[in-house]
Amino acid sequence: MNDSVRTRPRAGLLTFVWLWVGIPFGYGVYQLATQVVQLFTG
Amino acid sequence: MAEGFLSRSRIVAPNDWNRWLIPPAALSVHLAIGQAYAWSVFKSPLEGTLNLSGTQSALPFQLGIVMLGLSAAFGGTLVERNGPRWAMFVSLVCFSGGFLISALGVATGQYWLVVLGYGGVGGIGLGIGYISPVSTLIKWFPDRPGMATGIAIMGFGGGALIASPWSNQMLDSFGTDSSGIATTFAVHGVVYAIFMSLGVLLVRVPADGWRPKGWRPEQAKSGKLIATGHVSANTALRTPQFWLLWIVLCFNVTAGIGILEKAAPMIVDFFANTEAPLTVASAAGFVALLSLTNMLGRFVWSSTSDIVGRKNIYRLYLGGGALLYLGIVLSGDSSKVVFILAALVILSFYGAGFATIPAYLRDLFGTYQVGAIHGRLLTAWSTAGILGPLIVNAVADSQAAAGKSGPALYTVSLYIMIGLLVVGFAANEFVRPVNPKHHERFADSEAEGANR
Repeated sequence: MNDSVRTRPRAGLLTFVWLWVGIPFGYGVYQLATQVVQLFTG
Repeated sequence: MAEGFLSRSRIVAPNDWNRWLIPPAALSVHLAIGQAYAWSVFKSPLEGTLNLSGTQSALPFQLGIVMLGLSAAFGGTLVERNGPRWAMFVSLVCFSGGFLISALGVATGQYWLVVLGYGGVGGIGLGIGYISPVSTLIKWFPDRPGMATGIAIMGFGGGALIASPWSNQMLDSFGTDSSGIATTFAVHGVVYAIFMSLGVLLVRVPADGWRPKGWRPEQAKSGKLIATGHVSANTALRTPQFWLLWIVLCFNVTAGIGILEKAAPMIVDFFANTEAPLTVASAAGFVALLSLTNMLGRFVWSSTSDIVGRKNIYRLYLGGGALLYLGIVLSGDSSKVVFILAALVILSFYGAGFATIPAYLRDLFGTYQVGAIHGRLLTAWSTAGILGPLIVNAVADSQAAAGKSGPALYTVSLYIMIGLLVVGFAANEFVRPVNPKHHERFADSEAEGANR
């Protein structure tokens, strides 16, 4: 592929696949954050 | 060679394929297999149900990590030959299959099936899955290889963050008797299979001659260390650069694991003799914070390496790490803030050491078999996994036996970690470009094509 070929954004697919991995990841980070709070309050 | 749906030829991307679809494919595998570090959730229920000792209940995890190293080291060439879809599919089948075999083992009271399933079969899934997206990401992001591999390897760190609370919730729902544990394992197997299937379906390799818009190959070859040729995995083992990086990775990981493995008791012991000792809950919060910086460091520092260069960033990980350890030793129990901040940055360097190494390998050995070379280098991780905890635990035990307490319990181990980091720093300084006599005798375009 050369520079003149435009990349199709595929916005729907992009959103879906990033949410697919992002939602579980966000859940994990949220659970972690609740534990981190204990460092300052425990 | 896999044919049909799994073959490399079926996943050559059309010219307008959006490369930002590739990191989620990699993440769907790494977020799943990162569950391995949450194995401890199952230890107590298994011990209670199957009458196991702590040593026995750790066996599936330990075998899994050994199999991770072995399958990454010996399966790397197969992964390069058959392509990322094949590798992700093998990882999916082995990792999910491992859980299903373990479910059968618990349901029938045959613990050896749990060890074989999760550790043996699942461990192969860990190793093949870990290296499966590496060379593909590097080819899609020749302009930002550190960032691309940083995203995926951050996912491996994030996997345990998801699995730990999720597995606990399932055990709460299904129960911790044999039926409940078996059901939990079975649900894990099915859910992870579905989750990882996104990667299998989505992953693509770039077409011959593809490059990012506005980027020219010469831009990647402007650094002094960046290879102009390609080195095979077998030849790489005969170069000093491979073994220097082996030392760099091994000692960087050893130094980080030393803190990670004993973080909770270490911070409690460190400040035990102060006016405000830490509670167990605070220590748990500290461990969680370490996990967060371990994960974020993989993305942030690895992305930074694309700007400052791989050798410089490892100078920071190793030299900066040694200075931070020294800061912990010198400050003793006088400042919690110094201890916590230093430990957090050290752990960010620890995670970043994993995430940046594929890009360093690509710089030195080219893209031809970088995934296979990476797989072989992961034996350094296995070694560090034994060395780090061994040093910290053995030294702490001997100091406790000698009647010491507080920071004195850990002073010797911290000095050992500083020594290891200095050796790693020196090894990094010796890294030079690979001698062209090791380069494969074909044109760059052929090397790129050989992997598609």
